[in-house]
Amino acid sequence: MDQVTAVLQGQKGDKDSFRFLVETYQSGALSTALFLTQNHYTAQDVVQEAFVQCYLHLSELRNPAQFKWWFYRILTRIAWRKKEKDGKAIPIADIFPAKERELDEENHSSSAKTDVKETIMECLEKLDVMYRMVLTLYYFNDFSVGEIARMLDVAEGTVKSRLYHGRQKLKEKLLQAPDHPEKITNEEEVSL
Amino acid sequence: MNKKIDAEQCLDEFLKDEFIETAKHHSFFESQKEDAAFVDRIMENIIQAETIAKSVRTNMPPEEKELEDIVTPLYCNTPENHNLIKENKPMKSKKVLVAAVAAALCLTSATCFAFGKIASYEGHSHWVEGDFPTITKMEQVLDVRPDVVENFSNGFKFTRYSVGETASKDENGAKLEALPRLSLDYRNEKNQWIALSICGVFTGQDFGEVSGTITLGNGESIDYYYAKDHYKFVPGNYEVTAEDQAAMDAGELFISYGSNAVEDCYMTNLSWIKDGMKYTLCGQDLEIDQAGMVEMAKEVMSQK
Repeated sequence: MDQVTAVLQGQKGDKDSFRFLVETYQSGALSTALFLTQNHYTAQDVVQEAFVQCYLHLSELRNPAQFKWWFYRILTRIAWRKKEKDGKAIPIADIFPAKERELDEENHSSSAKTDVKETIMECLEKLDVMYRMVLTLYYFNDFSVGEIARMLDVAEGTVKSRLYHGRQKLKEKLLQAPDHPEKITNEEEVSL
Repeated sequence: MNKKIDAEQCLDEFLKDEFIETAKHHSFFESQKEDAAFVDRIMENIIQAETIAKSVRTNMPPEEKELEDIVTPLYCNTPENHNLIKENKPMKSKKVLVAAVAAALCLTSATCFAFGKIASYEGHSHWVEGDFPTITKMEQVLDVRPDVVENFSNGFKFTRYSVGETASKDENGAKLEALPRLSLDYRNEKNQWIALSICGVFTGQDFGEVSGTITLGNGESIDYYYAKDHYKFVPGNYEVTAEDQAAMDAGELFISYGSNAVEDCYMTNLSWIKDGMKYTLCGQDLEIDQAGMVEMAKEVMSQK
């Protein structure tokens, strides 16, 4: 079954078709929500609520081909709202005890790669949710600046600005990491 | 220059790879893997939510169903009204003023009409006298926590607020999208008023050309849109002057026939989009220039 057919059938109330959409998007949606909320429980709530809202309002989607964009628009709004209500995110360090994290790092064959992932996660954790949202949607979900602007209802210039500042912070952190990759070592060449 | 571009592309590609790799392999994301039951839980929630939604609709009190019938349109920003203003056809001043306020709240009304499927906006609201609304109350109305101030440093103080809804409609008058709106009314010692209106952004809504950018203390840049429109209400025998005509041709003046005397009205508005919400500062016959409006906007933007 293709996505457009699933949306059209879902709009008629066919739950099996909607289940197909849930199965297709739930993994990516959960990762996105985890990036955004930095909390497993909140992320699961966000994804569940996003799919529920999506189903209840599916008939309002006029272009089924835009389902992905529409769904992520709903998801990011819910994530934003939950973030506002829940206050500050629980730091990763509080979720995973230090010992567990050390073991986890030891189990990875490439310490450099682990460092980069840790750096990205730590940096995201510290970033304001508006930067985190733009970075995640751009780099993880592969949405364009224009799509993100329409999704978040902000001007494209605002998305570019948030992307710039978020990327600057990531770049600084990555350059400070002990095993940062060669291709971004030459700071003089990196001018964003 | 090319080196810089190469480095930028390189970092871009690197981050794209690393975000995906992080989601795949970072321990933080592991609990989501192989969780087939999660899909079942989502579907169960959907069935429950659908049942509740049906139940609520069935048991809705009659007075709630009648709400739509008793509300009074406040923002009747229709192309017909706009054309009446442009074509100098007689129109009641009050109606023109409502259209003027609506046009101001709609940022750049001309482009609103031309863009996408939105042909007009219509809404209703009711004023609430009393204390400054709590953040919780405002959040209940808008579904997000807005940026607001109780008083501006230039002397404008909060007096009352209104809650309501604005809907976009297509050329056949069918409702496309409806969004909640919150408006806060402020007055200064000279009894001049200014309203801060907060509403979501409609799908397909156009904002025209950016007038400038405001940079906040945290480095965030926010584009704003500024306009000052001149509305002149005139008697039926009024003759348009060459100066009037030039201003009308430039889109700076809108003339309406039908009033007893010549009345000038200047509508100033400054709007911006922040965190998915459209904020509009709108006032009539203000003694504040663009820089003053920008300062007021900054005070609002810096609240969160």
